[in-house]
Amino acid sequence: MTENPTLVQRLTDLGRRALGMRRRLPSAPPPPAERKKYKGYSQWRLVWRRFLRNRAGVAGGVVILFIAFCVFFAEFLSPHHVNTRYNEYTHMPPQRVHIFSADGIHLPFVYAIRGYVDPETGLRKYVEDRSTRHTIRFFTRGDTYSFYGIFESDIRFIGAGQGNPFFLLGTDRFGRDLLSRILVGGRVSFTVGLLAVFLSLTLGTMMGMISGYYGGVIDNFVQRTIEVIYSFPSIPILMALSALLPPHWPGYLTFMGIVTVLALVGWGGLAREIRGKTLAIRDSDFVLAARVAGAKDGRIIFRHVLPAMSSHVIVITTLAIPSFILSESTLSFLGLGIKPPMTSWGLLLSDAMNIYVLALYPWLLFPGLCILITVLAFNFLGDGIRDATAPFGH
Amino acid sequence: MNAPSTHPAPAATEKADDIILEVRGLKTYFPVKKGIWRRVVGHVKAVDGVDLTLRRGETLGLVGESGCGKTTLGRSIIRLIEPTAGSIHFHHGGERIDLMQLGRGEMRRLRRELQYIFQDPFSSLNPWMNVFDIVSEPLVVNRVASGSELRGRVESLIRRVGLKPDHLRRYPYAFSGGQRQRIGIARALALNPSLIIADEPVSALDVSVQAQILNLLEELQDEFNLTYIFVAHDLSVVEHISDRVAVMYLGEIVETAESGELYRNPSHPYTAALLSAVLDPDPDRRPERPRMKGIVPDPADAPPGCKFHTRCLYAEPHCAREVPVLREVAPGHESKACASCLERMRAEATGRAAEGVESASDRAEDVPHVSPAPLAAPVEDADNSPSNEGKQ
Repeated sequence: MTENPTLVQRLTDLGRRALGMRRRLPSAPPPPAERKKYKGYSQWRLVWRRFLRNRAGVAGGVVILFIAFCVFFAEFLSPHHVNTRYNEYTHMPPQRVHIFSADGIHLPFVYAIRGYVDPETGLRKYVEDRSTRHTIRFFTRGDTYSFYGIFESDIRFIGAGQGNPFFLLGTDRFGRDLLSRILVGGRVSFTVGLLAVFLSLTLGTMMGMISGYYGGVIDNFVQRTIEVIYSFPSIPILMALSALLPPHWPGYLTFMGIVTVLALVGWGGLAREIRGKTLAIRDSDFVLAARVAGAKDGRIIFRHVLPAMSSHVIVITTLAIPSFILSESTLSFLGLGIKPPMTSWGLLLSDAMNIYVLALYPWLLFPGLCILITVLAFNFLGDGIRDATAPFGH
Repeated sequence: MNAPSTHPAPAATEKADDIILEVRGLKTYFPVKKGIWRRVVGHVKAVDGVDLTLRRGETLGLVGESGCGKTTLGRSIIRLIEPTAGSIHFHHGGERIDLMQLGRGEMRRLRRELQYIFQDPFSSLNPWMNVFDIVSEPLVVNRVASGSELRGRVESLIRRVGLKPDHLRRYPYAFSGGQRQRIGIARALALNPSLIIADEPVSALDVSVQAQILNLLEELQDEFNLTYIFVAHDLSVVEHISDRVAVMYLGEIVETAESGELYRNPSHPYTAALLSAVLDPDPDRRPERPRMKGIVPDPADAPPGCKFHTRCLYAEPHCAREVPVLREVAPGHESKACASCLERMRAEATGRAAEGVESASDRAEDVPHVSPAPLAAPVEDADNSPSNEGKQ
């Protein structure tokens, strides 16, 4: 642009700036050193670079890492033992954390709580006892827990002193701390999602690849099987299968049972997607080229078909995890999934089954919020990965 | 192309019968299925009775319109697509092996001798593998080399096709079409094959790059004593590289001849029509209209009798009934054109040649045969778009 830009030029310029567009510059190629480095990048590094540019996807990933961290260290992070009942604090609403009191500023603290029965409604009510402060402490002693059977400890990340009421998300009808239960229950929900997806992915990839690669009768058989599974309504079939699990089984066996049931019902969708992708890749020129080179089926499947599919598999996996989490929640909500003393988000939500409870104790919906956030985060992550892989995954 | 100079003595004496490949009656049909029960209601006869004989060290050009079965023929010969019937005899190590009789394992081992160059340099390289993995795959799969020997061989291959060893770490997306095709050629060369089927190796490339790749292929042919089947739809490319040319129409070979002879003296109406469609770099010459009518018939429902009669300008009633056979019209020159049709072609050609000697092409002047250009009167209102620009 010259020194005296015309009115039109000025206006266009202004408009562009308002829209956040840069004026068109003579195309500047990246410095040669950088370009050279870029050319040696593998597909994975290109995908990673693209993924980092997708904010929603990265945010989803960060949230999932955070959740994964929280549920892994659930006992350490939770202030109380999952099943400790504080009988004098049943259905207590979330407690407020204070910094200011009548006599000035303090470290964050909670007031002691006094419960009483409302003479009019007959319901339990709670008031803060402003005379007693319990300072919130970190790395403090609390209930003893076992860290995955490796060691036992009573050091917890946060607490307000042994036996003192400290319920940041309130309590349930037995006076158990909801935050602690959400953390520990989250581990079940989260791992059910991961394990079920792992199982159904293994099954689905195998069946899908065999079905797509060999085609013909095998393909027909696998696809018809999937259709039969899918033609049943999912909740009744899940209920029927989980009703098969013996009620006297210990918790971890039930847990594995639920995972298996979910995977058995859910592999079809994955298998179908993988079959479609396999069909497309099987007839691609580079697979033909491998055959010309003399490669056998095994090598073609593992060196050519599978890697070309991997980004696709990652995406469908990421997008399938939330549906498994939801299925587990559904089952547990209906009382057919995880059984006490274990807990999960779905089981916690089953406490909030009727409108009466919801109206009086709305904090019991917190597990639902956790499910919502997790599912959304997985979806954002999956979409992000899909967008990042799309232009390369021929 | 003559035999390479590396061993001239045996090549000179045996050249005439040093046959590498004999294809007889090759048919590749694809079933057409319809309805819920996927019943076979017909066949697409992509390759319908092809005979070919290839001498060691020569280049056979295979030309024809899109959909005439060139690619299918090329792939059927090395059983990338399973042929329906026929025989493919491959001469290797003094033996005459029928590829159609080989089991999967035997065929896989013999693939070392039969390599393939793909048309599309973009889809034929696995985007998840780097160049080293791509080029070394044939060597690794066949356990030819490993470790530093493998690296050395791959590096020399990649140098031979005009790339640099530090390109080996890169992935296919970092290369241009021409470079990718070079990678494909390096891969095809890796096993030191004797026969390479090149499926339109330059049609996806820029014209400027086409010449480089063609020259590379010719150099490699001399150096490694390669035999090529060169599939193309571009007659000028084929003329440049081929010793002999086979013209395909609807799954059949309608004419074969030494390439010079074919261009000077096309003896099938289809070949003549194809040649009339070749664009001429001379901007003053008015391009002729392709001398045939209509479009390619559905290969699942090919016309009876002479398959070309629906489009032929010389068609007569008997053409729909009688199936023509390949017969020799000149030494080493075979055509499927029937006698009457050939006669009319010749008559028209000589008539035209007498009429417009001044407009006869340069090529026609130094040969005794008829000019390829004015075989028939151009159809009215010839398309007069500038020829060479259309090609770019």
